Amino acid sequence: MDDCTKLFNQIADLRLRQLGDEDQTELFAHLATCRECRDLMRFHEDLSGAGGEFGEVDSEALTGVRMRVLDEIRSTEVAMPAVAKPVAFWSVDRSRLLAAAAALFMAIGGFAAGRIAAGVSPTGGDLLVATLEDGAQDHRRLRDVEDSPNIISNVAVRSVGEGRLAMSFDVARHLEIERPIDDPLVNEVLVHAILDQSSMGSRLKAVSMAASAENGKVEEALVFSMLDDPELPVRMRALEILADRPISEGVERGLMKVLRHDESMQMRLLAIEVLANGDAGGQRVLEDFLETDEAVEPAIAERLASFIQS
Amino acid sequence: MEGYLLETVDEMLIEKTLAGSLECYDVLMQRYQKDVFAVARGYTRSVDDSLDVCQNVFLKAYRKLDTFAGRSSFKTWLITIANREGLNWLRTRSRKEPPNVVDFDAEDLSSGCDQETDLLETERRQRVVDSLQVLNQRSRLAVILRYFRDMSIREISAVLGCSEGVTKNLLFRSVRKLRETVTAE
Repeated sequence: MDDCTKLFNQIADLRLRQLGDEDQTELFAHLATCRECRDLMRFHEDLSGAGGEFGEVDSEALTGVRMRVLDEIRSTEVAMPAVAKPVAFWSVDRSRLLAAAAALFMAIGGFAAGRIAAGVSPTGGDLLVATLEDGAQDHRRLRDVEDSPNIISNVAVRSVGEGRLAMSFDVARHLEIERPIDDPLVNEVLVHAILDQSSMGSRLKAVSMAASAENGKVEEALVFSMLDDPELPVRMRALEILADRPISEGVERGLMKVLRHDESMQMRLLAIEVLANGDAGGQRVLEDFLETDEAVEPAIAERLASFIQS
Repeated sequence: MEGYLLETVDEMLIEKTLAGSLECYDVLMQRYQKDVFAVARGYTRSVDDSLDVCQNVFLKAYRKLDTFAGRSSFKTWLITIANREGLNWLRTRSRKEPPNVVDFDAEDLSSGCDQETDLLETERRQRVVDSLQVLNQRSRLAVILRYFRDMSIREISAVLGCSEGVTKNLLFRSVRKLRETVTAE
């Protein structure tokens, strides 16, 4: 790199006040002798000045963009919870979930999960806090806390002055139950297990167990799992389970997404098979896909063609 | 929006967004909206189009947030998405319209300038902005990030996926070309 190239970058650094004293001395010494670089420095100033206005936009317009993004996120997740991320699922239903959890907690001695923070319904939050307060008063030793059935995690603390702390945290309580497969609580817990990112094993098992659960939210959770689970065996199992059910519109949409976006060729080929073996609607969707999608891989095109012809 | 969130580091905001806080995602968007807009502006023909690209970028980033592994900064990651989205925008438009010539609206730059000196200044800046057309997309992005958004060579290198030396040379050549273009007019 010649001197001018090297010093060119120093000019930019100087503008950003990122140039050390020694380098500044070197730069100014060079500028004193190099007209080309002096002109370049002036051009840098013009360029930076233009930048201020180039990126200038009415702040209300950007606020509008953010509002539209947030609205879109909210509406998409309410309309299509099956394709939302697990965390997003929690965010949408958090207050309702907490209220339900608190009610359940009262009825059977307790399960609750969710953050005790702004947005919690007063009843659910108050009940949870009251339960925790009771426990806190009873706990005298570290072991009492360790043995508590309530597990507190994800704690954030900040001082709000006057000797007070604001805390936000998650609460969970371990329970064991035994119910029929079609019990609403069983379905609810299965859905949570399918969305639980901490254990692939429990997700896989929950997906398999969900085969016999006839329930809209379970089906949506299976579609979510088929589309977004990070582990291929889980996505594959979810697809297999869904393949054994009548193909609803939501499942068909999910299968098309698999066909378009899943990184696994095996998943994409399986999606074609399920769609092709479904009703005539699935066949039509595949034909449309073959006609309209630009970059169909040869293996996919071949499999599609074989199904469509047959 | 609670004031303390505005000072919260990106990593914490991301974590809270993943835990369901849209308020935290709004803070992240607010923090980088001008960077994203500037990148979008480098690809599109109008402010409105740039805003549309911004919207797509933020939606895409939200939906992919759980895949953000923290190997680069969030800002770099977001700008990489913005760059890709800008390219997508160009591809989509190129099917419908003649090959892209970025046409920056002079009114965007000259509005509100009453005095003659302001006008001359504005015209000079307009010439500089117009000259960006002579650069290819990669060079234009590097210039926008470096001069219009004050990003470091390291950050730009991460966005472009090349070494710092290559980025420095790219910027050197780009600015020299811009200067030649402006001077020749």
